[in-house]
Amino acid sequence: MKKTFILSLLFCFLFIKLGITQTTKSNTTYNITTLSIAALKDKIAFSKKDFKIVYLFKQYCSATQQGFPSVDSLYKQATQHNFELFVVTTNPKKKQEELLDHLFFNNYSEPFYIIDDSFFLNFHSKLIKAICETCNHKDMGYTDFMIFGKDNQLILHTTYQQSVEEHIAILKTYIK
Amino acid sequence: MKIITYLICVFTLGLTAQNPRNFKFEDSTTINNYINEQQLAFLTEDIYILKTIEDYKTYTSEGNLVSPVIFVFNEKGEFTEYINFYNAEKKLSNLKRLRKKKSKNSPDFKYWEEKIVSLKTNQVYTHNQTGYIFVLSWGIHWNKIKSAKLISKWYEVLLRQKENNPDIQLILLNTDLQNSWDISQETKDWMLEQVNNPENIRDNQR
Repeated sequence: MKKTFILSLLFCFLFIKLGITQTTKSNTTYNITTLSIAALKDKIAFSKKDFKIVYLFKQYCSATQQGFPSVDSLYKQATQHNFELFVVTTNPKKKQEELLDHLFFNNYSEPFYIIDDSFFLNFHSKLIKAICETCNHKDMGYTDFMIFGKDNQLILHTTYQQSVEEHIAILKTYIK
Repeated sequence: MKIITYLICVFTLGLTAQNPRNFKFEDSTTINNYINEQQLAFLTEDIYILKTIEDYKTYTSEGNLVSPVIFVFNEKGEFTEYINFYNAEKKLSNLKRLRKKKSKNSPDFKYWEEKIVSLKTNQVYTHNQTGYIFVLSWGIHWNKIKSAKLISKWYEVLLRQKENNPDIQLILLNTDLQNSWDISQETKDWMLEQVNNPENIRDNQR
């Protein structure tokens, strides 16, 4: 009895913590998960894929708008699937409908993770630091990404000094 | 009368077209070749052209020769919305955001219906009055691949919308000069010489 109660509590806790939502729009199901940074970190760590790619996405950022269509093409053409893509964004709740519109308009089907922690300042840096202690967060911006191996060691991270073409060339090696 | 029509067409195209000019007389083969070369997502059955040079004259002289834009009409055929680069994502992703109120300043779909024919069948368009109509304006003459690609992307968004809203109707209105119009080769050559050379337009306007 006691065990069942504890398991139920644990289940509720996980459900609230991960906040997984399957959102449907015009016969298309979008995989959007709202969660905390800590929960995202766990999710990345528990992934059994050879490569874990954490992509920093900002809907209104021109660099994201320029670069993400190529990521999307790679993702849709991938056949080996020895990677897991985490598209991480920080859209506030009131703007989630706009994000959904953006995904529908661009036909993006990648798994999106909306971080629901609220920080007043330096949210972006705090997010990177929390996910990757060894990353040079000062050189990173939206559209940058980090790639972790199966053992959760950082393989590489991109910086804003690199071009979109360089980013895509790197991703081509991992998204197959 | 015909000469006046040609002159009006030439002046209108001269005023509205952007450089570099690339006007040619097109037909179903050249249009389909362009669609294939540029890998546009267009379905042939949704492509319409202007029926005659008189229709083209009316169409262009009223400032409709713009791209990439979408003209939206409600189920009654009343003009409601003008979608462009700035509002496309918001409007096309959520059709509920389309204005319910009709616009008083623009002609109804009836005005368009009489001027267009199917590229594939040469049949006039019949409006079934059940759903919204989206007229996507495009043309090879714009000489801008980005513009055609954008229309192609908007068209794909609307095709996805159609999965849940089967009543919506899509018209890919090609605004090129058409070989099928009843005009002589001599006149076609003269028109092309005029519209593709901005100096000729200015000289004629003086």
